[in-house]
Amino acid sequence: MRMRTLTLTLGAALILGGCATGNMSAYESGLEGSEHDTAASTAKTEDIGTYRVTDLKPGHRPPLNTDEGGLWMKMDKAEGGLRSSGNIIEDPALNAYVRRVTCRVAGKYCNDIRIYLARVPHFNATMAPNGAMQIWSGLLLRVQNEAQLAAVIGHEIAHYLRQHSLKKMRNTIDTANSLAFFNIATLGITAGLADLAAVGSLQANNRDFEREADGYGLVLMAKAGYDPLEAPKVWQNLIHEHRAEKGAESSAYFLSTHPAKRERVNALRSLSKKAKRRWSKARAIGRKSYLTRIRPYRTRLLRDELQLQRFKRSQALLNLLKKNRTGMSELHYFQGELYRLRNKSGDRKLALASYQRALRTGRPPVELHRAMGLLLLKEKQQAKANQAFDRYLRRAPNAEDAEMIRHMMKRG
Amino acid sequence: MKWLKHSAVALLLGLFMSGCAGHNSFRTAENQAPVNIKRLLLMPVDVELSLLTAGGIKEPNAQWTANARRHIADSVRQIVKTHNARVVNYGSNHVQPKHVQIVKLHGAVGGAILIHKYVQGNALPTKEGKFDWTLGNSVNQLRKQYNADHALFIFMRDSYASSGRKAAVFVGSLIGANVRGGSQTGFASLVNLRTGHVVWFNLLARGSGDLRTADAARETVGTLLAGIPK
Amino acid sequence: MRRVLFVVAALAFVASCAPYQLVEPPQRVKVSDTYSVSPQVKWSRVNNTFFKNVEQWTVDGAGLQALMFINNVEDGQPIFRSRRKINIPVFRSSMNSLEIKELFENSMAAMQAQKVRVQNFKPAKFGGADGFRFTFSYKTKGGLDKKGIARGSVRNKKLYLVVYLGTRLHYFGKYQRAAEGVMRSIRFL
Repeated sequence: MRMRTLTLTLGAALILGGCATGNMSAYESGLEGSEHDTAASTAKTEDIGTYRVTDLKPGHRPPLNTDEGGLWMKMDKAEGGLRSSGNIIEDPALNAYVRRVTCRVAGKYCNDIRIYLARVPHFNATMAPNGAMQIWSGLLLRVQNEAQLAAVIGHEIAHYLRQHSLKKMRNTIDTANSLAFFNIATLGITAGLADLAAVGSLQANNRDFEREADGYGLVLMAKAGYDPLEAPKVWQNLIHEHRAEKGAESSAYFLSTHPAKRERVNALRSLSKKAKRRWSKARAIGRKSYLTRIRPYRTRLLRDELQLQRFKRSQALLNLLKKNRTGMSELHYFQGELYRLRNKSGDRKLALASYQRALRTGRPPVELHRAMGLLLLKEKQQAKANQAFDRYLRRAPNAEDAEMIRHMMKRG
Repeated sequence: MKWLKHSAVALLLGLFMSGCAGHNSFRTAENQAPVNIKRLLLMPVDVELSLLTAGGIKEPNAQWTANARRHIADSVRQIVKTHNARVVNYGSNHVQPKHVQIVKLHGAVGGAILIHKYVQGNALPTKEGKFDWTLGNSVNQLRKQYNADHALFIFMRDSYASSGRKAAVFVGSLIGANVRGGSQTGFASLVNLRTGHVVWFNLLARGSGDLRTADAARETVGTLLAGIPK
Repeated sequence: MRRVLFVVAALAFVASCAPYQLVEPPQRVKVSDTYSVSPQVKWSRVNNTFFKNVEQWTVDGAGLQALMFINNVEDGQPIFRSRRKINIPVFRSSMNSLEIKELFENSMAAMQAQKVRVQNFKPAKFGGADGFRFTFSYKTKGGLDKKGIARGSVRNKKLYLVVYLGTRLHYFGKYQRAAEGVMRSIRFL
């Protein structure tokens, strides 16, 4: 009962907020509201409902005869496809770890969220209305600690709890309906114009959902004890990468033409400070635990990243990872790989130097010796190349390319 | 918005099937004799019913879909019974992990059949007019597990115009604009579980038909399975 | 399934402009005015494929098995020249076979192939010239298991590659030997 009233109030606040006070109010209301509540009673802080973070009860399943039921059916099916899709990461230890973080953030909604780790080397996470959450491997490579992972997970769980997909579906159908007769009447001639306006209003809606999820995500992560100040850092790092790729000038242009993005980062930053003041005990960052967990997969993830051949971005990422001082030997190896694949003048020397550094620092992946051999061949240093290939073959006698490499050594 | 993309796919499928009309079924050439079905395994039916809203967006309906799944299974059972055979249930609406590759292969084979048998100008000369696609011996697993001799795969997408959509169709017809109403598209394929051959395949693409009630579903499934060999 | 249908439907649009043509033994067949091959079974040649520089043969449908002739790839060009612009690595005439193998893996990944795995990478003749061959496996984005073999060589600074691939279940194996026969029969014009 109480829940329902709260939801109604919040729903009204959202609608009003959207019209009256502009974009900021949507998620501010969540946070501000919670501050008022806590002033009245700190005992309630354990209850997520106090923060009006949710529209849903734990274990929610919509009735079959509703539009939400239809949406869930569709998503349940899509989830079946997801489970057997080509890029799913099945590793139990990594899944268990992300699951633990998810449960910590989701609290009593833990059982409503299912996670799917997908091997896609870009930064993204998605949430389906039925609680199927996808996290891409490019994101796992980029977040720097458990708190940052929790920030993203919190954002996605907020989408679920606030039923954003359902709202989007309703908006889309309503918008299309409102256009239907207009389009028919004008034989579709002006459809372009009308549709454009409609798409614009849909996008505005989506932006509001993102902002709301940012705000509620902060509440969720802070309540789980994670330092909310880590949330804006995820974005800062991404912007940094983007800037590295496009150059500072184009990046300024990018941000000025997408004021929503800049505004979103700024808003997130100031909100995170408020959240920090409110939940001063939310201090967990979990840098070491995160880096240790992700370490066994990092080689694969970095390999996927370099496959994309966007070297400026990858360089920015490597720089970021180097700051952590973990697995430096591997990072030097990939630095060498970046030079080798970029293949600009002078890159061969840089690559070889990076490989040497990797060897001095620790135990890099065995493929380093093969890469070294390759470059030495290009430098016409056949004897040294053969030594490198020999080291590779001794360490990986059954490698998929062993026979070819033996052949190349003989020829030289 | 995944569901939007999916409905676009369904629409595209509908378009390209209706554009190329001729929904005749196909049978393996060497197998015009009775195929002698005794125990027919009904694979999880891939079905989805939705409401076609005024603006042309399909809103999936879970209740209709759940009912349709039941109606389809019932109708198949009745038809198979008249052929003196019986239906073996797969036991779940979801494909078991060990069968996933078989079902995905069937999807790829179904895709090849649709494009090379139903789209004009796309016949493969290597086929010389024959209908001889197969899933190979991978299906033995199904035969052994279910003690069945054939398997039936069904894929159905049904949409029903909302009253708003009906009005849009009507207004459109008055002024000469082509506004599409609800439609029924899908296919069925019969696979011999000993040889893997797709012994029979049929496509349904029409602007009528219904799966929401038992009676209407009987008509739809009857049309879908018309001419299925005994 | 829907994804398959989508691809099929998309292909139908492309393919419908150019029908298929029968390739029949025992005559030798010219490929892209570059070399000739001797097919041992009948194939259907797809005249207009998704890629600008690829000639494609199939028996049961390209989604089930396909023999792809990738010819005259010049310095600075990708292996698969898509009609759609995608970010895909390019061939360099200075590349050796190890780098070409790596280029192949990266190109497959750029085209959404998942968990690409190259094996049995060995030296092999290609139309009389020194070249390489390998086997590979991957999953489509939709999760269908595929297998393949490839043979290639760099000749006059251009890359030549013949790739045969098919579904792991049934269709790859069905014409693997026929495809290997075609690869062995290459004779430059």
